[in-house]
Amino acid sequence: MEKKFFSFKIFFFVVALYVVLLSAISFGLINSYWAGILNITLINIILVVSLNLATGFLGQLTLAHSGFMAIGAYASIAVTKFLSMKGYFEFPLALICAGLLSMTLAFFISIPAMKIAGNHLVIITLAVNEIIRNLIINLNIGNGSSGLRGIAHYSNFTIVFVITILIIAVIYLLLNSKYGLAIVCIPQNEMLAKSCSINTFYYKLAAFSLTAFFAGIAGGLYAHEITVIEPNMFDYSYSLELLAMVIIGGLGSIEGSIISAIVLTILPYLFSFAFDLRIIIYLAGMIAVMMYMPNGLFSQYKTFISNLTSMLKEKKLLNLKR
Amino acid sequence: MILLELDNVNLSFDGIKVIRELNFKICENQIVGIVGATESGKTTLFDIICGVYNPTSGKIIFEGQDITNMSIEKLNQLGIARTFQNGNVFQNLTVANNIRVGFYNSLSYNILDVLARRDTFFQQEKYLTERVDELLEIFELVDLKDQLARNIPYDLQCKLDIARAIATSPKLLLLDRPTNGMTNSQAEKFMNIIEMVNRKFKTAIAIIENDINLILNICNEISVMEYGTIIATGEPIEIKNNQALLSICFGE
Repeated sequence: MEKKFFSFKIFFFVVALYVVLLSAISFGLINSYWAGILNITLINIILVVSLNLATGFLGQLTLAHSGFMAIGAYASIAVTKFLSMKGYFEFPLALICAGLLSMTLAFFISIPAMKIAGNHLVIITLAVNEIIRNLIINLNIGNGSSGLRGIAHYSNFTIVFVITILIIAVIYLLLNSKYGLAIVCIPQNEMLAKSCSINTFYYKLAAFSLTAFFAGIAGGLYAHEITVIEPNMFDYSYSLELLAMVIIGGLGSIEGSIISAIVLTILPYLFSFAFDLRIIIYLAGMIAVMMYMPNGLFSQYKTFISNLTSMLKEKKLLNLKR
Repeated sequence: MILLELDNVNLSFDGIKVIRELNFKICENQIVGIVGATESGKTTLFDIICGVYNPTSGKIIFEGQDITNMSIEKLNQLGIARTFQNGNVFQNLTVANNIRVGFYNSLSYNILDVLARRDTFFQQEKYLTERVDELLEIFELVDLKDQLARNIPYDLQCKLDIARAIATSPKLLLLDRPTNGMTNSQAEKFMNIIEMVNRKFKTAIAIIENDINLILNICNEISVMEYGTIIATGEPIEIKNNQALLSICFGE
């Protein structure tokens, strides 16, 4: 590996993207409705990329992601309510608290849960998600099921963008080291990974906790973006939606996750003129991906283009002579 | 010098004895063959040595250290590597990355080194790449470097399996039927590789095989297993000529 701090190409691309989007928002090219959707999209990118770490790379199918997000949301609201200081001071603190709280919870849940594999883990995490939601309702945390209103709107575009880029960078760097290699080989053959000194149990705990940490931060951002939350927003269907984004983007592909998060978040809003049709379009797209690209748009080992051409070749739609 | 010693080891699952009063030892730089009928407990013996199962009673000593109840990961760090029966590689990793996984333990950087892009990270990764290339050269896998492991031929996968095990720099290598599913000529070629590994890396090797003729020439010693215990140990040719013994095992 060449020694370099980061790739300048990517750095300039990110900065350029930031400048373009920010100026578009401030000059009114993107109205406040779409600016809000942009923030939600960025938050979904955090959620999908972090979920891909556990599901795509480590092979642990979890459905508790929106539950951890709920914990993050309520924790950050509690911190900002309790401190009631200047936004730029209390908001980062609130986000860190949100992340840490959901990470701690995920850690204790994962100790028993990670000893279980495959389909059983899905059921357990689904239960965890519903337990969290029902606890919030029944213990009357934050007005119970009627939810909270008038939350300070702290999540502006800059904060959400910077945090998203930071989280993607952290996950990307970790995956390109020995930790990434260990995580990728655990689902392929756990016994073999163990016989290469890789402590698989430790890795599962760490990856699951890290995933929950990012979910908590995303939850905090989400709460301070939409400013009105209620527990039923964080039910299992949201987790399923995130999981669908991971699978469509491609298990074990960060760029796939980013793109599918962007497309699948914006698509329902774009088709909002055709209220009834939009769900059909959305689901038809999902089925098409499942049928023709079972590994997702970007699979771990192929790019989108080579995926598409090999699909077309298989279907004899494309006659390429070598 | 004795490298590994099993002293009166027993293993039972819910009262059913699988391994009974087993005594076994391997000396440094030796190649030891283990033959026996199917279901005689050869693989279970390996599972006990490398920590998949902990014995119900008895002691395992490796380099003078009691390793009876250690986990697989810990034992690998101490220097016991193994391969599994049906050519196990990480199917979706490239050939080079498969070997890279083997070096996992020799990388000592931590998470902060990775995130802060410190020099230690780059130095170790660079050193690692050189070591991987070295091993690829030795095992003649250089041309397949960037292929996915699942796309290369089966006998090369088995070779890769051994290369990965060697990357963990073991003192003892346990090969569980490395020639399983190969043709005769492939298997004979493979024996040369095993001999080369033994000479080049100074590793003691224990090798499970069903066909005694195959390992006759490369082993220093052959043990015969039956009903979960070792019933005879001796020079390869001694075992080969003992018709009574072989008829117990293989019913010839």
